[in-house]
Amino acid sequence: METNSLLRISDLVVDYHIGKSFVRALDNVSLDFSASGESVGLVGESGSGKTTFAMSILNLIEPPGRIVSGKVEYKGQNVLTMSKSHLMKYRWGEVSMIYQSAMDSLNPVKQVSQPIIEVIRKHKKASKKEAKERALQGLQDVGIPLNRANAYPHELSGGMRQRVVIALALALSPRLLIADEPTSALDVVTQRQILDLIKRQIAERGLSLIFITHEMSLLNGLVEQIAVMYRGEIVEKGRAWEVLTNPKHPYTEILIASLLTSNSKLRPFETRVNPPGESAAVSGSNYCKFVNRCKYAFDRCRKERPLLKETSGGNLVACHKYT
Amino acid sequence: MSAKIGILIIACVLGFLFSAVLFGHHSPQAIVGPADAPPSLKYPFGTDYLGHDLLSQVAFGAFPTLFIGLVAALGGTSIGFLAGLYGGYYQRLQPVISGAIDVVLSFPSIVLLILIASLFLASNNLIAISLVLILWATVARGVRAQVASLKNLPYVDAARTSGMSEWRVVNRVIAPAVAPIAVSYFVLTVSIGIVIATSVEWIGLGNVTEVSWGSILYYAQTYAFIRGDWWWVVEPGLMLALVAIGFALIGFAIEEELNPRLRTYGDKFTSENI
Amino acid sequence: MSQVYLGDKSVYRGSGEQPILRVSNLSVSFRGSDTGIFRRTQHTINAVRNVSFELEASDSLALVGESGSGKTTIAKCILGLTKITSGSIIVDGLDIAKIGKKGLHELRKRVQIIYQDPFESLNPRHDVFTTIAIPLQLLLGLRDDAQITEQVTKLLQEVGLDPKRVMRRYPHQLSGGERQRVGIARALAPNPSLLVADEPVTMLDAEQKLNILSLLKELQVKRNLALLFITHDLASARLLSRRTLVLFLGRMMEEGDTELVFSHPSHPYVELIMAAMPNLDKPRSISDFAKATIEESLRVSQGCVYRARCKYATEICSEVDPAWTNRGGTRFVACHNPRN
Repeated sequence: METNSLLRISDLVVDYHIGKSFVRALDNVSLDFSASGESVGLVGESGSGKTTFAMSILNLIEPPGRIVSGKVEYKGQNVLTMSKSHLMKYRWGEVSMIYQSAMDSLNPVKQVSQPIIEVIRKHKKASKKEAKERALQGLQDVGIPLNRANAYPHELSGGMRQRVVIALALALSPRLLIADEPTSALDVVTQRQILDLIKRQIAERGLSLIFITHEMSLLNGLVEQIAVMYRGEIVEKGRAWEVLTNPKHPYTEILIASLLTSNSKLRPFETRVNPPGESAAVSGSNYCKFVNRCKYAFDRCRKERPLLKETSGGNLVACHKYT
Repeated sequence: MSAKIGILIIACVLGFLFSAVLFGHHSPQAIVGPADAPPSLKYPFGTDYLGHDLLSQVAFGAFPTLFIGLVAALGGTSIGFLAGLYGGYYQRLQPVISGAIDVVLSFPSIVLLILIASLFLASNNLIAISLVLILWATVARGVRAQVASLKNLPYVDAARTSGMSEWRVVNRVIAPAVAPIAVSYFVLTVSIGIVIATSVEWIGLGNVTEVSWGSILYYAQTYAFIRGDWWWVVEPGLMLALVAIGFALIGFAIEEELNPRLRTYGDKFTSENI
Repeated sequence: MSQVYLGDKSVYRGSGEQPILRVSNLSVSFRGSDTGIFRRTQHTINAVRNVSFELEASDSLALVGESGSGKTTIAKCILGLTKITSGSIIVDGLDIAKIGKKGLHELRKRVQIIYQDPFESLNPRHDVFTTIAIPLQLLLGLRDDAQITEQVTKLLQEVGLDPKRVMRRYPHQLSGGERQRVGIARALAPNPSLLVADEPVTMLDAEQKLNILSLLKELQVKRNLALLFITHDLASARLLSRRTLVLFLGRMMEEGDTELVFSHPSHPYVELIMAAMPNLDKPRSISDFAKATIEESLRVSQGCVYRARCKYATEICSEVDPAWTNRGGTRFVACHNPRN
């Protein structure tokens, strides 16, 4: 039992069964969080497995998804084999989550402070008065003034609703927060406000953070480490600044080149369509999954699956170019 | 899952009924045996106070009942579908149709039905028609709500900008999208229709000379208890319950299937389940 | 596979002819009702207030703003999907307010739209062929099956899709980027002269984003289209549009050459957007920029609508609505304290 690690995911393999065949959503993924407020950004396109990854941490994989092998250990305990009562305490009390559609999932007939009050009462056995105080304080912390705490979800803008979602996620003071594309539906200004808010909260509370997105530029200044996922595997991992300015894996290069930022350089771009449906990965593939899109691909890439190895600069990369 | 159970129940019941009708020895109206005979090998469902074979009665009696239920469901769903579709889509029709729906639903409709049945000559057709007039409103309300949620979807706008007239849009784009929910309503109204029809007949307001589950129960409720013929009451009652539940399960299962589950996380984290 | 230089602005010919699109003093209001449990209040939502702009053939204009800025409402009005409260919109000579059913038909041939959501903008019950065939049949009146198939094939190729592979597929069998391409093919079917793109890449992955944007650019060049590009992201506006108009709560804030607006914003709101954009420099917090939320801005009834959020607001800002002022060249701003 590693007392140093807060959350350790080891060799996780998750499949989704569709009819007779299956898709390997996570192909031997490992990640390690130490106990001291680390933050990691997880980047990848749709189909990379990043959402499946988040769901695995909270043991939310349901059929047709299936956890084939691997462990998710929180403070040494395997989340995937926890008892139900233990899971109830773990979810939200230790690890909680915010995600894009959450702001539309708020109960429309309840005032926004209600769910927070209920959660606090249920888990902390607090009195009505105490719970209400804590809930209102929590809402204030995320920038929702007292006079809006009794509003109904439809009376608030998208940005405000997402703040409520954050307050709800932080209500029980968890140790780790998972954010899965929380700002994708919001405009740039609101997005920045929400990101600043998340940053402030994790700093103030000493939280660890896993921030999942398909837009790498959001991670600048937000997380310390970045892990890049492609079709169920982590293909590059390292310090955020290194990955952003000095990407090693060919896929990461493409992601960086695609960024539309305020200092985008205009360059020639190909209008080739990337064939989808390639997301159906074969189990135990013994070739590099990126080979069809890779401009550096050579012989070895078709015969051998690259493993994560450390490169100069400190990044871990899974690519034959570096071995 | 529940659909499968429902289908199984209905299939079994129908199979049973059909085989009883095809292979049964006795006519439901004929007095064939001793009166008040409990279920036995010769008379698997026993006999009533006059000696009718109850198995034949229950088997043949299913059809008028099912007939009313099906007709009521067909009529109610068709009218309800059209009302909900056009009422929900066209702004000008909205108040008219919504008003009609509200009137029908706020009325104690069953009471009205009983009133009608008792004032006029009892007949299956009358009951069926009355049921149609009552049930259409629930269907219309559900369909209307669906139409309202679909009306402003981007692909509906896209249909308009692709050159479709409003008439085409409502018939070619919206209608197919809400048709599935109408199917689920159909199945549910069969269930409701059968129960209500039987209940009306049970209190004697239907055609008591024709053999139907309701009419069986009408006689049974008067005579069965004094004579101790428990099976006389249980058999039609149980049949009714099975068929009603069977259709209901199928209907609910269809409705659930149609609920779009687009979001990965869905509503996984609400205060109710955290 | 073609190589396109994004940001190639040499397309615009500055013909000086009649603009393809002329929006004049457009205002659109809705009646909304707030339904609480016991109350039901009616109030008027001024989605668009006094917006005017022009767009010439083969030119491109970006409408930039957050949710609530009115940009989507404007798009819908141009398409004839939403009623105008006051003002006028003239598309290729057709006055939207005055056309009847027949005019609407003609309008649909001249202006088309690409929607934001690749999931919800395609009918899930129609395959790709049907989706593109419908405008061909209804707007162009094509009847011959062979002809229709030929056209559909050409359009699919034009947007970079393999006709044989996708023609019979249904939306759920395609990726987001592919769906968006189908939407573009559908929009191009009636051969419009004006294309409205409503946040066409907002819901796409990073790589698909650039692919679609460069496709749009290529199409604009090839077909000589006027492009109205609606977005909340100034960065993509920069790549696609020669001019930009920034909106806030239905009102115009700043307009000008995209490059200049980008590099030297005049209006504090544009300054805010620039600061909020994700980039690879040291990220700045915008808390000192954005003092208020949208809700508070909605309650402003007098003076500049942006006042509640503005860090440079002075007394005059709460009393007088700033006028639309020319700041040299084609630059216009509505502000009492412009930044440069």
